[in-house]
Amino acid sequence: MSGFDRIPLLCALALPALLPQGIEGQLRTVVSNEIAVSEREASLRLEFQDDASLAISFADGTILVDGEPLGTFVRRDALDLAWRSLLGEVVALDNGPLATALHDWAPPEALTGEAAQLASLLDRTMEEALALPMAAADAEPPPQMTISVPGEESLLGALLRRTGALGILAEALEDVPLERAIVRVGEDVVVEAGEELEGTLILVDGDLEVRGTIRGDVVVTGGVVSLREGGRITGDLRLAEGELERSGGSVGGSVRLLDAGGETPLERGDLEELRRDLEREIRRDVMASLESDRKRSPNMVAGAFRNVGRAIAGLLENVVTLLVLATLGALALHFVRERLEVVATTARRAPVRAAVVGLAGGFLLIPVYVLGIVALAVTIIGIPFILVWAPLFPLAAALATLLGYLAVARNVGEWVAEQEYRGLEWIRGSNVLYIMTAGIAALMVPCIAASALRVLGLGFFTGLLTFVGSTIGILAMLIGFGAVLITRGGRIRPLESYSDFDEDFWADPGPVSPTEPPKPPKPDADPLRENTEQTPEHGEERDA
Amino acid sequence: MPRPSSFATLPSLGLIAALGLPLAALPSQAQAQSWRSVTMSRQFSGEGAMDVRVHFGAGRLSMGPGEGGVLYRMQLRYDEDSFEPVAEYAGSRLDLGVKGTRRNISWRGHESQEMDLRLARGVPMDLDLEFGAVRAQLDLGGILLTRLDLSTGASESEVEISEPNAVRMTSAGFHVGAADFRVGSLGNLNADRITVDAGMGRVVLDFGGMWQGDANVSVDMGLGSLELRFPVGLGVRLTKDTFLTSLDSEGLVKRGNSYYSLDWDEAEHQVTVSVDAAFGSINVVWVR
Repeated sequence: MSGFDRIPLLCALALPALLPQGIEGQLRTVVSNEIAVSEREASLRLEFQDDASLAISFADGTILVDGEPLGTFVRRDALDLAWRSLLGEVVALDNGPLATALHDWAPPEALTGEAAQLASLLDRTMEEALALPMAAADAEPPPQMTISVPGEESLLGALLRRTGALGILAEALEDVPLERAIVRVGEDVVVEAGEELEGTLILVDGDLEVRGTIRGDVVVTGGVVSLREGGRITGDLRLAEGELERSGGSVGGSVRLLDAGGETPLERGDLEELRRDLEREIRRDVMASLESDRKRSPNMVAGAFRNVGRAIAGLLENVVTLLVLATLGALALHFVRERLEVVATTARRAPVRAAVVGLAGGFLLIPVYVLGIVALAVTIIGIPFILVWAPLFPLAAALATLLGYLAVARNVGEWVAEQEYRGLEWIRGSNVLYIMTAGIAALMVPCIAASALRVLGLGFFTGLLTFVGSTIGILAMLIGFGAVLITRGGRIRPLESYSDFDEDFWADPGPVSPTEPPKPPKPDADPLRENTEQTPEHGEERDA
Repeated sequence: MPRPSSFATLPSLGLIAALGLPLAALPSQAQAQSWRSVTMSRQFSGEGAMDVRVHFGAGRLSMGPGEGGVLYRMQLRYDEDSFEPVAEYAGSRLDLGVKGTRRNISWRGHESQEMDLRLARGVPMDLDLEFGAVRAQLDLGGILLTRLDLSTGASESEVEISEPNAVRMTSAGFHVGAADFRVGSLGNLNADRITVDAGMGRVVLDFGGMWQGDANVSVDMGLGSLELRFPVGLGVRLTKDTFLTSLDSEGLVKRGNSYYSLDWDEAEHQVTVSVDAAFGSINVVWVR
């Protein structure tokens, strides 16, 4: 069986020799288990309470035990089916029942040849891994074998910490008879003069001083063998990562030195520790990075759908608002068109003045409203009028604001028409309702863009555009409301001084001469008519 | 003369863009899948408070309290070509679920993935659930929840809290994309504050269960219907900030800007529900 010699030494040598009889029933605590089955893989992974683990995997034609190849299999052959059958039986079990089921598993008798050997090996591997490790002091040594480990630690623990040297130790132990082995781990051994030691001496991480006789082979890993005067080894001496100091003495057999590439156990151990530290560090960094990403984007899918939903809701809200305002605009054009035109003209000619008046009017609304109620309340005859004043004043204010906003929107629509934007040519030749609708849409452009941007979840830009849109809307309402107040609801046509107000407001006054004669009054022309005549794009007259 | 009809097409265009683009961006039908079944469990070993995070992209999900002695038990069936299981336990942090092995994995064709998760009953935990396109049935009853955050994409999810939470929870959040989403027995959550953030779809919030204190519930809906199911005897105050959203305020009376249940002042436990919604409906149902 080709895979057999690749079994970790832990399974091949130490545990079979160390585990005493009658250990069944005293199984390790399984703290974590993972059973995975797919077409290409059937694997079992166990973690034990003492941080040890066992992983057996049938994957892609190879049987792996703790990552080491154990043998080969063919998908759906008897061994593969037996293994999958076992996993199917234990998949619903945890801890104790799981450990017992795995420990008690016996390979099917139908298996033959290499499959039977591999199954037997798997069985033994699981039994050994699941059995409780016994402290050497408590373990009754098997006949013909002595084991010694320092103090409180177990041989298994000691060997596990020397996994880096296990490969070379396995090589050193090749063909060495183990029936009468003496195993020492992590301690020095001295064979005094006149003393005789019978059997194979295996010394791991310890020094050996020989003054007497060892009747058998000696295998030393990670230590120094001092062969003193009179010292004798009748068999072979094999040194794995060790040194030999001879000052007399003899070796009856061969002396074989094995080296793992010049690395000392300590160096290898340090490297292993370093590797683990690096792994921990990288894992911590990756987890921190993932955590950071997760906090930034808790759920991309959910977020995307929420954004789409909000964008659609926002756009629909904009469209409905536009339609409602356009409908109100149509009503205004139908019922109070002349007044709307007067307000629009005033807002166009004196926007700053209208805005200032609108702002002042806005601040005065509530005081006027309250004062009106108080004034009506102090007289008996006025009290009934409170019932009219209370609801009608806010309504009138709202209508005035609406009328003003529509008038400004009409002006904006005209401005858009004059720009000759591609695709918007139809506005120029349209009637005044379309022009006004285009103006409303233009005033709402930032809000519409903000709604659309919600799809991308660009919170800052969405907020910025919403702010800009709100500012534009409020400004339009202020100018419109002011124009309504100036024209008394569109009943008073704009005065000449109004038309000049803004020009004067922004113009450089230049040197003021006290002797300058007063400006002659302009002809008493109707500014609305004049404007209509001078700007052919104001096609509402034609359409009307 | 051309008409400004383009404005009228905006909603349609928006809907097409919103729904069509993500679908168009998806790759064609998923290739043949290689299914892998995995069972993982870990024994309870005296853990204290834990931070548990569950990720599941697509498929069917079930979840509930586990049996004694087990910290978690997770059974998965997933496409091993595109996904891999997650079961990482370090310190007080536990990550479970399935994650994609590469970016931009389509969830189409992965509806048959399955995940069944059982969590320990006696361990206080901050639970963070993150799902994609799933059909989920969750029972959080019996799990000691100190915080809950559920985030799901396009899903059909039903969350039930079948048993009262033994610890007071500071906040519970449900973030839903496009979903048919139902939460049952919210009272058993034992939460100070509950937040529901839904994009579009149908959301049913059942306020049944055992209330152990007052609570504030905030619902933010985009498009869709919201059904609020209150048990008789629970003091309810409903405030709304809505746009083109109808309200069927059965059993509630309006006082100021809020709607109150008839026994609000006398109720042992009072729940304030704030709804922010656009385009949809809010239905109030009283359950005996």
